[in-house]
This record gives sequence, structure tokens and C-alpha cells, in this order.
Amino acid sequence: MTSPIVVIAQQTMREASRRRTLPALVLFGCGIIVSSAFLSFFQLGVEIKFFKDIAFTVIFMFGTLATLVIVSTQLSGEIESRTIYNVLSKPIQRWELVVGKFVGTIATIALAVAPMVAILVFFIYTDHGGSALEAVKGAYMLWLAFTVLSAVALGIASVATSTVTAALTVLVFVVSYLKGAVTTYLDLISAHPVVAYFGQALYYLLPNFENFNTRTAVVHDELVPWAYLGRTTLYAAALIGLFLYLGTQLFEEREF
Amino acid sequence: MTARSLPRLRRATAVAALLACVAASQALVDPYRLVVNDEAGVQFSVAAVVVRSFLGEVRGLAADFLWLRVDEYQHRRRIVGGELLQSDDEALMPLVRLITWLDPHFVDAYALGGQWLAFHFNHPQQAAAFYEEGIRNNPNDFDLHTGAAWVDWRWLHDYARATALAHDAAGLADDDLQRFQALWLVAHIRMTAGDTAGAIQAWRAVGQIPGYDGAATTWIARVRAQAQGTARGTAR
Amino acid sequence: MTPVIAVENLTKHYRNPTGGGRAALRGLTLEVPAGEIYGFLGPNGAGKTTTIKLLLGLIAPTAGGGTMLGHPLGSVNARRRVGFLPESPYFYEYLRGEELLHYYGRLFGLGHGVRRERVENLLKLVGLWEHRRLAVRKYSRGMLQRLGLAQALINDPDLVILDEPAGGLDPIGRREMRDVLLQLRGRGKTVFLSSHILAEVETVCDRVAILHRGELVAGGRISELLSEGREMELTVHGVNGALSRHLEGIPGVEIRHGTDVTVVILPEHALVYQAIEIVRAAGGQVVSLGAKRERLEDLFVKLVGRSDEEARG
Repeated sequence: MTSPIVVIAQQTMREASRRRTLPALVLFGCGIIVSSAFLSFFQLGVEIKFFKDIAFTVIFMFGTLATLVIVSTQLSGEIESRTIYNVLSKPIQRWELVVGKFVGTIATIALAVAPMVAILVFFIYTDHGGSALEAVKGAYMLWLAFTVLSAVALGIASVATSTVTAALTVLVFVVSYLKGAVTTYLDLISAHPVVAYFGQALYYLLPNFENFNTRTAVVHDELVPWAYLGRTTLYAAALIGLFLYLGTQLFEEREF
Repeated sequence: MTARSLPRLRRATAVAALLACVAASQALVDPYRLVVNDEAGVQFSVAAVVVRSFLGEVRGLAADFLWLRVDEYQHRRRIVGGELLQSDDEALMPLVRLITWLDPHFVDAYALGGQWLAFHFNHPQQAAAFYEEGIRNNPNDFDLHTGAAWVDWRWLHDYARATALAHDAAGLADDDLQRFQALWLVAHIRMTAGDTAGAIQAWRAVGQIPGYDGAATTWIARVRAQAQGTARGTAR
Repeated sequence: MTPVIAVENLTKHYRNPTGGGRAALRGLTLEVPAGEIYGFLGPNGAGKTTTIKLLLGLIAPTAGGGTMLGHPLGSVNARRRVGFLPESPYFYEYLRGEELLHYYGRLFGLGHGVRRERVENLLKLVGLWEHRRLAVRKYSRGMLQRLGLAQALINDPDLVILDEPAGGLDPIGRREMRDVLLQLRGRGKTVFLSSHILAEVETVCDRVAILHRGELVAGGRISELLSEGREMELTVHGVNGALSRHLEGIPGVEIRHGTDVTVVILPEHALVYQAIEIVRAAGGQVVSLGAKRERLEDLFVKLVGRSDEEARG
């Protein structure tokens, strides 16, 4: 007997693939990366850096967009379209629905991002633009960021509409990048221990998406240690666990 | 404790435990993170932190697009009708600064910025400081070391520091040509400093490079001749 | 025999964030025996859908509880043997009809072979086999209702809960739905049916419960609830003004004029001959004669009206 989580995950992937948005995003992203491989604005060396920067930025932006599109239409969309009644009347636990949606979402994103990564690796390999393995590591880190973003979004979606989910998820994403500015500012304005502790709490407890940013190392042909990959994976797992737990608990209490 | 409060307590405990896991894993990541991303050894001003934070993941690409402008100006618009156009030089320096904020590993920006500060704006101290920052952020870059060595040699006359930088550059050379260039610099700095023996030592090191022994021999002879000429002049 | 559904004092209050609220269900106690078709009736807002949601665990009760198939309300084990058709069902538009049934079948843990056979049988049963490869977004309202019934039966449930199953169906579709329900009962299944169409309920249900303003106002076998009184019902064709005036002279008579026929309700059996004589003398035609039986609709209106009066009083 297949686990309901797997059944729901497969269904999530099927739904995402049949919506026109996702394939269009993937196609567009691949098109940009391919065309940027033929730009010749700079002398060699910087050209390759530029290509890698464009490729990673495209993967980042389209991956983030795909994540928001998929997640905001999953749980919230199911509730708004009232298909939730049919699902919850079946013999599945509510947490299985949330986790199944999560697994389906991250699998879909991996498949969506894979063609763009493949193009990146192809051009790096054929144009001798550095290490293809480091590029794959960089792409894996981006995917980890998307998995965390999915968990955050699902946690919010368990209680919010699809529009609010998308908006709040973007807000969390932006705030996590602004954390650096906030903690630096706090250090500047006060040396008081309470302020310092507050800054530390912000740093350690809010999601830190900068952890997944290895782009500079990849673009400049530096090594991303395997140990870093392992530790960041642990960090992602902790964040995913936190937000999925919050989401499933809130969803458990929700009435339909 | 009521029946309703027990699940709440369990949930609160679970959330607290998960938050602790998040904090602990962040602490595990921290020692490696600064090495992997572009913050290692970099001292950002508050303004730099804010700009970097707002641009987030796209700051690398933003740096590239800014470089488009700088590079275009440098290669295409600086000479017009045989006349060197410098009207936009000063306007481009802030762009160069911004590029290095966004990507502290953008070596070309440091190299260009250091050059312009020294050659075009006649600010050798600022050039040296800019090169120093670039080397701090990119300790293995050959061009920055040689660029900094030039500034210390020709403008600031800090021959000890210039020699050290050129020596370090020789150790970072990717090929024989770069190694020759670095050692050529060492030799000339030492000659300027009056260290004939040191200069000859540097030329002997050049002679170790395959295909450069002829040049080394020629220069050693020249250095000796120059030293003898100087000694006769002193004796008179 | 253990009842399939047994609830006691089931209550649901919806609270407003700003204060106050409304009681959707107040102290409902009922039992649904196994192997019967149980009708659950009530006007809009009576609490029918709230009750069904409580049974399935879609919402939690404020007080009370119960069991379904021997398991606590809303438990996974209970839902394993239940099929549910919601009112105006919504399905994933991007799926094809058979894909949808396969999906729900997989959620029940059905194997591929079993699923394939059941999907085919159910689609043929509800008349959607030719449309099995059509995307659900192209289905008509009636087709969606049929598909909904099929998905409710995919796990061969012991208990089928149907909320307004005839919604969107034409008369032929309703008859087919009725036949399916009777088949289910014939196979020993229990059907819990919530409906507005009282005539349909009266035809198929063994028992009914009537809900109004969240309270149970009547419940039991239809045959016990509906009284057969002394009134006689005479159906006449060709009643003109003169005949009608003559008939109105009969004490206690009630006349209902229709398009083709007129129904004359006589308070006693003894008045029948007088009425027939009047009709025959005026040239009218007697179509039928029989004891007037109370309809479910009559009982429903009577009980709901009484309940409204009590609430006002």
C-alpha cells in the first residue's frame, strides 16, 4: 500500500506540470541562460563569470517564482476551491496532506530547476568555465533554499488564503536578507547587552537564506566544502521541521 | 493541568526544541559560511551592508551589469579623436566602489580602481588602500599584488613593502610569464632601492624560469655595469 | 445490532471573533441503524451540513460526541469505510474523470488491479465511461454529480454519506441515483442521505430525522411518522363554477383546483357518496378515490412551522 504522503506528492507534481505557468517559467529561464552564453560584452574570464552570474540569478528567480506559484495554489487553493472536502473525507491524517504537498512541491521544483542547471553545467564544461561539480553544488544549495521557502509557505498556507500566503512568504524571504543590515545597525546604535542578545536572537532564530548562497564561491571557481553542504543541509532540515510542524499543528485545528 | 493545556504544552515544547535545532545548526554552519560566501575577511561599512542586503541573491549579477558600464567606458570611450577623454573618470569611481561592495571578489574592479586612483587621479595613498582592501578580500590574486607593488614603488617609494608584494605575486603566478613579470618587478624595485645584490638575486631567479635565462644573463650584466658605474662615480 | 452512526448531545457553536456567535447544532442525539437508507432533512441553515462535517471530522464539536462504524467521529479508521459525496462537489479540474477516481482509490490504499476494475465498474454505473478521458473542467453539473457519486463508492464503503445527491441531476439522473441507493441498501450498505427533495426521500428512505434551527424535531420510520387519517381524497375532472359551488356546500370540505383535475378532500368517509352524486349530476367525471395519506412534505412543513412558532413564543 502506497503511503498517502507519496500519493499526495505525486498528485501535487501532476497538478503543477499541467498548469501552464510552470512549464512556461522553465522554458523562459532556459532561454535566458542559453542566450546569455552567447553574449560577448567582456573579455574572456569576466564573460564566464557573467554567464554564471546570470545563470544562477535566473535559477534563483525562476525557482523562487515557481515555489511561490506552486505552494500558494496547493493548500490554500485546495481550501478555496473546496476540493479539500473530498480529500479530508478520505482515511488520511491532516499532517499527511501537508507533508505530501511539501514533498510534491520540492520534487517539482527540483525537476523544474534541473534543465536550467543542466544547461549551466553544459556550458561550463564545454567552455572550460571552471568546475561543473561546484556549479552542481551551488545549484543544490539553491534548491535547499527553495525547500525551506516551501516549508515556510506551507506553514503560512495552513491558515491563510493563497494571496496572503504568497505575500507573507515573500516578506519572510526579504526580511531574511535584510537581517544582516538590521543586526549591523543594532550593533552600531547600542552596545547594550539586551540589544546584542536581540540581534543574536534575530540572527539565530529567523531563517537565514544567505547560508544557501554559495554563488560567489562557484562564480569565482572556489571550492565549496562538502562539510559545508552537509551542515547547511542539516540547517535546512531543522528549518523545514520547524515550519512543517507549525503548519501541521495549525492545520490540525482548522475547520472546514 | 487541563486536558487542553497538555497538548499546548507539548506543542510549545516541540517548537522550542525545533528552534534550538535551528540555532544549533546555524552555529554549525557559521565557521564555514564566511569562507564560502563573499564575506570572508571583508569589512563592510553599514551602507555596504544595507545595499548588499537589499540586493540579496542578485548582487553578483548587479555587480556584473555595473561592470558593463565601466568596462565599456574603459575600452571604448576614453579616447575620442586621438584625445583622451577623462570627463567621466570621476563618475565611474563610485560605480567601481559599488561593484566591490556587491562582489568583494571582483578583482578586475579593484585592479582598475587602484590603477585609476594612482595614475589618473594622483591619489597614491588611496590607491594603496584600495589595493590593500582588494588583497585582503582576494589574497591569492596576482594582478592586485603587482598593481599594489607598482604604487608602492613608483609613488609611495615604500620599497620594502613593494618588494614584499612583488615577491608574494611571484608565488601566486599562474604561468612562467607572470612569474617573470613579478620577479622583474622585484629586481627593478631593488635596483631603485640601491640593493644591487638583491636585484641580481632576483634576476638569477628569473634565470631559473625556462626560456628566460638569456634575459636574466643580460640583465645581470646590466645591473653589474650600472653598479660599477655608480661606484666609479662615487669614488671620483 | 450496533448502529452505524450514534451521536449523543452533539453540539456546535460558531463564535464570532468580535463576540457572540450562533448555535449551528444543539444537542443532537440520534442513531442510524445498519443496512437502511436514512434521510436527514431540514430547511436551509438547519444544521444538516454541520452534522455531516462533524461526522467526518471536518469540524470539531463544541460538546457531545459519538461513533461512526464503531470508531470515534472523524477518526481515520471510521473514514476508511465511509464514502462521502459533498453538496455541489468540486474536483481537480486538471484531472481526467478516471484519473480522479484512481487518485481517491489510492488514498484508500486500493491496489492497481482492484482500482482499475472498480473505476471501470463505477464509471459505467454512473454513465460516465465514455467521458472517462475528458478533463473534469469540461464536465457538466450533472456529470460532476455522477462523478461525485462514483468517488463516494470507490472504496466499496459500508456507510455512504450523501449531501444533496440529486442536485444538478435531471429526472432520469435522479431515478438512476435512486436505483443506486436501493442497490446499495440491497447489498447491506447504509446510506445517510441529506436532501431537500422530500418526494425522493419519501420514496427511498426507511427512516428520517428532521432538523430545524439546529435541533431534532422529529425522527423515526416514515411509516410511523406519517398518519393515515379518516379523510378521503376524491379526484374529479371537468369541474366548472357551478359544480365547484355545489361541492363547497359539503361541510368541512377542502377543494384544490388543478389545471386538469380538481382534488376534493372530504373530512369523513360518509360524505363520499354525497360528493360523487353532486359530481355525477353536474356532468363531471370521477377520476379516483382514496384515503388521504399525509405526505412527508406535509409533516415537514407542519413540524418546521410549529418549531418556528415555539421559537417566536
